[in-house]
Amino acid sequence: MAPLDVEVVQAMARGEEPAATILYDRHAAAMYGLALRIVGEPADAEEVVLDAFAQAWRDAARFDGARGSVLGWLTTITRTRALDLVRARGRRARATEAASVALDEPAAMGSGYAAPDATVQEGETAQVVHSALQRLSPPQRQAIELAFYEGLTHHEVAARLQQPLGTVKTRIRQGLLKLRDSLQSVSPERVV
Amino acid sequence: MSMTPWSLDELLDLAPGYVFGGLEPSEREAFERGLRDPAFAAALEAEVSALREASDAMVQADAVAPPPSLRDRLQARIAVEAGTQHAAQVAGDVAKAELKARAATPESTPATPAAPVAAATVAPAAPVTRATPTSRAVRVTPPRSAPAMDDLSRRRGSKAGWYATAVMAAGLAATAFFALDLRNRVGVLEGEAREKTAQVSRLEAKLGEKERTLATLLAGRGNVVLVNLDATAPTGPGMQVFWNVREGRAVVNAYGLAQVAADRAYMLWMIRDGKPVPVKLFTPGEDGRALVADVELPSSTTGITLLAVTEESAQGAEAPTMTPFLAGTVAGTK
Repeated sequence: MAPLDVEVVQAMARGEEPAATILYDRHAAAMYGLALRIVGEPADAEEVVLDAFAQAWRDAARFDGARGSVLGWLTTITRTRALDLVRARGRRARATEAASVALDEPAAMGSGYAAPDATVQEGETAQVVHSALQRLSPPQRQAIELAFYEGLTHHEVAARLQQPLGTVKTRIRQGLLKLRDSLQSVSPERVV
Repeated sequence: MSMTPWSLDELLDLAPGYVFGGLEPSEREAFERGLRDPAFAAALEAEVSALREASDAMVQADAVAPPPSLRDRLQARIAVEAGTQHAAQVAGDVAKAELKARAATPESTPATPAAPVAAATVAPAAPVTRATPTSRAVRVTPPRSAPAMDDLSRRRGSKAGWYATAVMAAGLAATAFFALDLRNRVGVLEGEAREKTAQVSRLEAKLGEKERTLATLLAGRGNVVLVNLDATAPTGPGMQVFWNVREGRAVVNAYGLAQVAADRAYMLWMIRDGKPVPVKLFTPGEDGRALVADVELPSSTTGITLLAVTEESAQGAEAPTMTPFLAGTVAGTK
């Protein structure tokens, strides 16, 4: 029986190098997709993922399962590094432009930045999420994307969209909850 | 009774920002206070959990297979990091062992070296001298007279045993001196190694800064705008701004600047649409030079006619408080 994610992280904390590879094999595609989506360039996304998993290796002993899943922990590390890279290189304007383009293309989310030879993992959960995202109103989806993929605060999203702060907060929350409700219909694949 | 002035609905609206790490500090503090509030904790924790599920799902839905080579690179990286951690652990163990050994050694040991418990019980410690305080070379002078041993030798009818014992004692004493000297030298070498490591770190930091500067310049390729800011006086200070318009970054090279008081600094301004906009605060080194990398400027020169420098408070300023003493016209992309 395959070890749980938390057991893999515990093994990493003990210095067991193969555990890092196990964690990578499980989550590299999700992290690479996330990084690619944020930084926009495959070479940069590779560096982000490499740094993120190396950081996970170093910080494994500090992982606290009570505060969320391993996937969520990796997501936070990867997203933070990717956003830092974008900010450091002043690419925010370019990413925004690209995100706007993606918003205009109904099927773009999740594959808009894929490298030509990249393979999109279309599992059951992924299909449901894509479907659920398409059912969100464009303003909801746009607000979520700005907050998640560009790392904007609620205030910054409100300013960017020129909408009242309260409206933006509600859009993001309602959109995410709708997304989460859609997932209730599929059995969870995640290993926590 | 709630512990926070925020309502539950208001806090729930903050939950996505909490999960995404996108709250203002005051909002984050309010949300975390809510999480500790018995009246709200359960609802907020459930909300956070639900939103984390949604966030995890979004990430999984965007999965893209990375290049196969990335796995190999990670394994190599982990091997290096594991090796570094192991080396650090070993170094830590060695340091602990040395501290333990020092703690177990009496303070008087250096003055009466030669641990030679065996030697002391056999004969008085043989005088041992070194050519210099730090020299490894030792000279052992056998005792000129040892009455008790002489008597014993005479009784045994042979001096061979005495000499053998004396040589052994001297050898033990010399070994102890050598060990002590070696330990001192190791300590000196370790100190030198630490200093070298610190020097390497400082050099790496400087190199990293230069690499960032170069990257800013080279990444611009044909999109670097050079703005020369000249003083009105021919021998006064000057400044060059290498503006990578494509990346929206710039490198500033200033020279001949006067020193400023501790609470003052120089401010670079851009004049956009006729209005001054603060760009960067900086201070020169003792030689009056300042090389500032990672200066953020717009990714277009449109509307920007001038760059200028004033002296301001170290806290910065919203508008210049003096006439610029350096100014340069933005000519456009070269």
